[in-house]
Amino acid sequence: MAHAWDRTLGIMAGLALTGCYAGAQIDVETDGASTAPTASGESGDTTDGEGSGGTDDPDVPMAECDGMVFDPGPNLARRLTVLEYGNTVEALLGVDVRPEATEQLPPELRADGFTNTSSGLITTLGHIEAYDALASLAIERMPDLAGFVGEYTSCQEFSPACEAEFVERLGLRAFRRPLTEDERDALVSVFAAAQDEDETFAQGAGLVMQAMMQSPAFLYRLEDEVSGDGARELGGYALATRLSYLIWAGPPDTALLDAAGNDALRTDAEIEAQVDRMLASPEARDASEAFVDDWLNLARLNGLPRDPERFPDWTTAIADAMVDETHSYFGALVWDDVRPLMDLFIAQEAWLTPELATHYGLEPQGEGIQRYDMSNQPERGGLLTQGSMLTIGGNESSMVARGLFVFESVLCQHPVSPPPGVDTTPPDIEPGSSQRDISEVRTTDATCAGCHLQFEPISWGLGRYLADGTFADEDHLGNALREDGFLRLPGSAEEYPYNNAGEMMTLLAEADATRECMASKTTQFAIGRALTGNDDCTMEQLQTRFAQSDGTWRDLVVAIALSPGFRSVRVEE
Amino acid sequence: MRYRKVMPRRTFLRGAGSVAIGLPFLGAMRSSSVWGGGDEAPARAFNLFFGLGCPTPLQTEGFAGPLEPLSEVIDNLLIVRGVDQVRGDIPGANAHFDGATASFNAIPSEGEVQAGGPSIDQVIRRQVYPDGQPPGVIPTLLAGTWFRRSRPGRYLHSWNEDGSPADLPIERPAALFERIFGSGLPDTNDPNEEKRLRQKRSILDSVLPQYQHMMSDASNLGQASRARIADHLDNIREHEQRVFGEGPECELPPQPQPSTLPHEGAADPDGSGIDITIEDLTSEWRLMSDLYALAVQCDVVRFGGMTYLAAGERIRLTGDYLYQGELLHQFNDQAIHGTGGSAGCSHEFWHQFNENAENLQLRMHVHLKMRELVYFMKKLDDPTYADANGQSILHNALVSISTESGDGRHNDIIRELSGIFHAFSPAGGRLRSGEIVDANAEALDVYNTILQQGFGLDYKMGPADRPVNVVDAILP
Repeated sequence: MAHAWDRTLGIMAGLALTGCYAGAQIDVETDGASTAPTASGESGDTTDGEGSGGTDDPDVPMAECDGMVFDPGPNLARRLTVLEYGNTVEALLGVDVRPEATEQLPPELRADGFTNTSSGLITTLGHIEAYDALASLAIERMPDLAGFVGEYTSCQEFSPACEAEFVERLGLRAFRRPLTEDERDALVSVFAAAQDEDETFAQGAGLVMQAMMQSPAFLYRLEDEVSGDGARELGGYALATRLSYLIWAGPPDTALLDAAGNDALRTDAEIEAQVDRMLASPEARDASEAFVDDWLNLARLNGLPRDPERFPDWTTAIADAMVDETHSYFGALVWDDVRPLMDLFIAQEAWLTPELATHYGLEPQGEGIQRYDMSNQPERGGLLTQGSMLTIGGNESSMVARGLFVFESVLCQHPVSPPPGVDTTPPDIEPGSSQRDISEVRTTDATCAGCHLQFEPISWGLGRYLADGTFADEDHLGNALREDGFLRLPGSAEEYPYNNAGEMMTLLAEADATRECMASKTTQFAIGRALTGNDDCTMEQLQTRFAQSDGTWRDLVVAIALSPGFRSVRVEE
Repeated sequence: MRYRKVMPRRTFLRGAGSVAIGLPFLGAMRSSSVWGGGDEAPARAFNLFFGLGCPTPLQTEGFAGPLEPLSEVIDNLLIVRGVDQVRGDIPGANAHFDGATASFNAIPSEGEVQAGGPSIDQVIRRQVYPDGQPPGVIPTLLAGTWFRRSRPGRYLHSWNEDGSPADLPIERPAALFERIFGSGLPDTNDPNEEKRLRQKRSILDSVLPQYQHMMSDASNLGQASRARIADHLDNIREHEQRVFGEGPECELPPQPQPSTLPHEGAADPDGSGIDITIEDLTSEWRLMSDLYALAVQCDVVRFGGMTYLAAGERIRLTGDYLYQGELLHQFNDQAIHGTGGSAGCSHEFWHQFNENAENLQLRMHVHLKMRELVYFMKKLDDPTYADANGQSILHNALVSISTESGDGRHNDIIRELSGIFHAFSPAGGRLRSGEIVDANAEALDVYNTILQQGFGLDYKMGPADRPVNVVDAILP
């Protein structure tokens, strides 16, 4: 049953959280800079980026989730990640400070599978010092400061009109929404300090830009979280910002800001059109790579060691080439060939440097990274047969670690902890056993099997791949290796047998659970927090839309962008 | 960025290895009275965490067992046995993570970088200094040496009110040095320096009101977001102090040499553990302890903590272990286990703990960590740096020591988080000291007793409807 967003500004406390659509009403942001009255009587705070627009549109669909509670979930001011910061500076000023940002800003914490988890995006002194230095560096690096300033003001003289024009026009880009009067006045005051030092207008503008780059509205993604109780539809600027950081890992461009300002991000069609426009730009491909890095934790290959006695050919360059392999594979399938995301598990191709091809026992085909047809190489092809994945589990190729990775990152499952009182002492293992033999002890042991049967048999399909990603007949102990096994899918005790890695991955690719997990992981990346039961309503809509699509990256991004959780924010009184 | 301004002083201490560091002089700030009740020492609280824990049966041995080194500081320490910790049980987590993330707050975690509530050091910080600490004091300083890092809660042990990290822990001595002392001297010969500072002042003056507005009643941010902005503002103020302020009166020690231990990703190669010698490990431990203690003695730091290996740490230790000049043990974890990788790590000794066996290897690992904790605490107990009330920093501060899984029967889920080792310094006489007590209580009650009965704070950790069961055993 379709239902319209309730656009009444009235306080719909409680109702917005009592049902996904039945009787639920969601407040709509005021949209309209400096127009909404606040408790203090001042003109509206634009922490969220209210813009113009907000005309009623009863056709905007609302969440439809029978019997479920709709809740956008907890919201938190999200500091720009290191990646987002670099992209944002370049989009604003046209200069690249990414290398320095990566070096100077503290590395992000990886939590709940991602480095953009909002609870971990804290700010330390190291951030403050780096923001100061990077802002100064960015201005120094601008090749034509006066020319740039001229793009945002019709005059370059120390006068209230010129200064305000510059601050307001550039501020819209920097803060991703119109400035409040207070913000404008605070930033304009920097011009006076520059004038006192006999600086030029452009130099003064450079100082203003440094101030903008250290302002909360630049460094954080802030949204209107008050004036109600329950949920609120995002205003245009806030939604534009969510879209741009999802698709580009960077700020809205002028066209998107214009759409927000013109209240043209309300309907599904309007949003979908913007998504398609944005996906057509190169930044979208780069940003999706950042998702892949986090989802698969590719950073762990940076300097990854292997036992030199058992893997004498292992080098950090091989590890780097494995990361490149996964990046190129994802890029080719998702962006060049526009294939369904589930094909990531079964596509019979590989992207290899000559060194990595040799490492895998293949004949090199040329310089640099090349596409290899794996149609006649059944042991390769598909994400899980790539070295970046096969190095999970240490020198021993731990089937627990490999199985848990697939279980958690591909199927979005978590092992059930043993109940209190269960003796979880590992069973005795015969010295010289293969990893498969050891695994089978665990999966048949009455105490261990309850948990380990959930995830270990998945990894049996990778049993012939050693810890350096090579394919082998025997392990270092002389044990014959095997790759047959069975798969249990979430919610079912049924066992699906397979004979090799390819068959195992085909089972995964065909499973609803895998597709749903891909959607869940990408949504988590988009909203910056782990999904909870609060998100069930949103996820049901999103999963349905994605399941009914062609299953491409574009389809998934559209499904997320149109989902009720992405388009609204939880508010508190 | 620049170094804090320093005063020349007279004495030098020598850290582990050959790294010399300067001895600090107490600044005037140390005499500030902020506890309430007329004390003449600033409020301080530090969390010391050590990985893998000390099994309950070994705790009962007192100083005849692996707790032996603690006897050196027992006059200003209370060892508390029988403290049961909560079990977190977030999806996908494990006992190492659960216990570690709940240490110092006793509340189940809500995510891999989200504790269930504030840690005791941060509660005291916010309660005692609601408007912030004095200029020049680092809001929270976290440091330590750890290698296992699959989840931040394994090595991060100081949490804000909303459960977010109070800061990021520092693992390299050079970075800790820079955090405490700054990273560069201003070029006083540069005629543009004063102009640059004036311009920086102007930029900050335009930025600060924006943060203040975000935290005001007029803000459109929710409480959690406002708290995040407030933390940001705290850090701006510290930055401001570094740029424009005078800084503490401390001798600037030599900058530490780059660390030779693995850090970041190399420190935790897929959970399979690293090889490390006792000399390398303890040298870095002691250098970190020296620097941190120096910061406390200089009154640059009043809250935070140190981590001595992560929860579920995986190292393969080798080398001679000397205690008080005598060879106590020779570590060779991999040889004892007969295998490398994760199965050859000291972590396995906890899996193999048997109450009826000697557990020699485990004992020695615990003993070593106790020795290093004592190394740090003795620096805080040095009478040279006594507070204005004549008592040592260790006596006046609340130093809380906690760990993860308690009784060593690591495979027994019931006991997984019971009997967790705890110890506390007397916090200016607010807690008992000089003995080992059996609290036989929930950790939440221990912490709340410290806050309410010890500090007289109107604050309670944990669920609102849970009553506090006062733990008399820890009170004087």
